[in-house]
Amino acid sequence: MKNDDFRVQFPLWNIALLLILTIWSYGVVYAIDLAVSDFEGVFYTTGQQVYVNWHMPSVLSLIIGQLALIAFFIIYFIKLRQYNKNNPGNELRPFTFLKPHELLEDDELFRQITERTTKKIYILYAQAIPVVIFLIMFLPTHRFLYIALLIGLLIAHNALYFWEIRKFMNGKTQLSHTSINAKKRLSKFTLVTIAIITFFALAFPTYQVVQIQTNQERMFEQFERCLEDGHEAILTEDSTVNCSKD
Amino acid sequence: MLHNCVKELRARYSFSQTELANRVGVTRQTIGFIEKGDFSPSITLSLKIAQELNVSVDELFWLEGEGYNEE
Repeated sequence: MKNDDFRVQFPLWNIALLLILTIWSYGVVYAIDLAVSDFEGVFYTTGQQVYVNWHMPSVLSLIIGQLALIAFFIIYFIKLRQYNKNNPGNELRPFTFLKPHELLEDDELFRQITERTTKKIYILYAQAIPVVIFLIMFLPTHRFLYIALLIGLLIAHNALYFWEIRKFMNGKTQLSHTSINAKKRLSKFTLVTIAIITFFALAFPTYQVVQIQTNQERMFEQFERCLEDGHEAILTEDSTVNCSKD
Repeated sequence: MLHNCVKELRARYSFSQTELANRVGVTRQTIGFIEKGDFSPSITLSLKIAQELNVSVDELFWLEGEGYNEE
């Protein structure tokens, strides 16, 4: 087996798919929230005309995500077909629900490496999931963030898997020391993962708070300008200020 | 730690790692890791390698401190 074997590279494909799903899910979550709880908020009227209140970031993420997903699956199936053509008798199925392709079980060494790596991923989940639960519990924010945190964990899982298999393929793994060091409580990888997840978990609500504050300041300015000009200021449903003469 | 003389015996028969790996039904990486002493093979695999190299298992593998068995 070579370093550039499709199965060795498979965690990278998973990461690419997860990144695309993050973009796509932003649009999907927004669309579903809108349809379920705020469908009237999609439209607003000014005088006789009805406008559609497009939320551009989510519309863009839906379109870009959809296109990226199609492109991803086209490239993936081409690569898979190529692999199956070059490896008759060892073909991979298109979908990985039953057995992920990255689990290498060619012989007893690969089985041992896979067991060792999955043990490390088990530890990553055991340490990172309580942190994610804690963050979700205390952050009153958009549910997209919760999805993003879980996707972040999956990306970390795949990155760790790829890192470990790559190390083995480059001959840098020492299998004579396969046991996990109990004194070393948190691996560097887990620490970095938890730090990144926490950063994003806190950054998103902070950004929302800053955005709300900026909007409020802008609205107050518009209100003041309106009143100074001797007009009547009305706050509309979509949080804009309508300035009209008395 | 488990020591072995797979590399020396393989050289004697002019087998490459890939060739020996194919003969015993494992990957090239497995032979490489066994030679480095980083991987302890199962009894089945040890027997297969010993058979290919025309030696007994205890001539092929020995524990640290027990000495090099090859004549």
